[in-house]
Amino acid sequence: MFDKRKDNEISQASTPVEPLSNQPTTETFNTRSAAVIGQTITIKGSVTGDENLTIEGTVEGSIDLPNHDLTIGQSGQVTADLNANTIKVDGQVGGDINGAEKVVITKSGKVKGNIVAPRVTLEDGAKFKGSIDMDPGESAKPALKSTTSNSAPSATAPSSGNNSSGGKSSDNVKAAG
Amino acid sequence: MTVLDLGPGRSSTLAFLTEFPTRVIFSDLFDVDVTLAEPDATDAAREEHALAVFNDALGLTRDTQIDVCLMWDYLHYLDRPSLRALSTALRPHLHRNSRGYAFGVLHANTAMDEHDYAIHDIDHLVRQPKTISVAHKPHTQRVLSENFPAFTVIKGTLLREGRLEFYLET
Repeated sequence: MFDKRKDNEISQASTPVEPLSNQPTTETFNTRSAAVIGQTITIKGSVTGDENLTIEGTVEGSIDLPNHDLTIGQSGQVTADLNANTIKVDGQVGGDINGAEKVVITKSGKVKGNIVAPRVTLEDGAKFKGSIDMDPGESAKPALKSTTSNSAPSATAPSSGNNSSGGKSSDNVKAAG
Repeated sequence: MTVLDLGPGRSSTLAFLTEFPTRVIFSDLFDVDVTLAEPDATDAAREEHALAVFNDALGLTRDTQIDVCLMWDYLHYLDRPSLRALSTALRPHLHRNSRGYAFGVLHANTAMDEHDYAIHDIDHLVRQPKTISVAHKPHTQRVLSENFPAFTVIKGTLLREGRLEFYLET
């Protein structure tokens, strides 16, 4: 199905690998001298500007910040199409996202919409529904939230009480074929 | 390449697909209720309702053509009318080289553990327990063949505990 796939012997997908560990993201965003839309502020309409912006409030409409960084904070609730150089979503977004350089949806982020960016990162725990268009020829590899572990496999048996949606109790299961 | 993942967006799947010139669509159908409230509804009515829900929930534009469809174990969370509806909803977006991947069971009474799946690398998947339990009843390959004609199984691999791994084509 994918060109790089090897012809493996048929085997049972039964060997879990050490659960992926959560590691801090290496994504950096320029938050210095960013304008802020505070938590109690609601804006309906178009937001444009020539500086970085952090949104902790509510915005409905569109947000256009070419060549600048946009951060949707954890309290931010945005129903708008977003256009910026780099976009980081810690809160909620309903709308299409266009990042000229990159888009990051963090573990607290929730996005429903389409993303176009050369580099897109979904952190473990992030909620995303929609399409993602990438052009890997123009980008470096995305910073991964979790990494491969070469440790001996462990028979991880997640407890029924574990409600984490992140990678804390994930198994790597060998796919046969 | 356009990849349709019927599950929720997963960081590892996205990271893997970044290696390829890809458009990936995460439909997260597990989060969608396709059932019809009326208990006395006919199968035809259920199928029609489910089709309308899928057409909206899949998030596919009219001209979207799917190269790879990652279904994981989602098919086993659908009743037969909903299976037929999903097949109908997907069919216009498939071409003769479209491929699918899904899990199945050897017998209808095979227990299915409830996990979310994602791609880790070319040889491994990531499996995480579901955060929400969703009612499901596993379908045999025969039931899938009869009610999900958009795809045909070209290869099945027996996994442990009576589960199957299907590679599908249109």
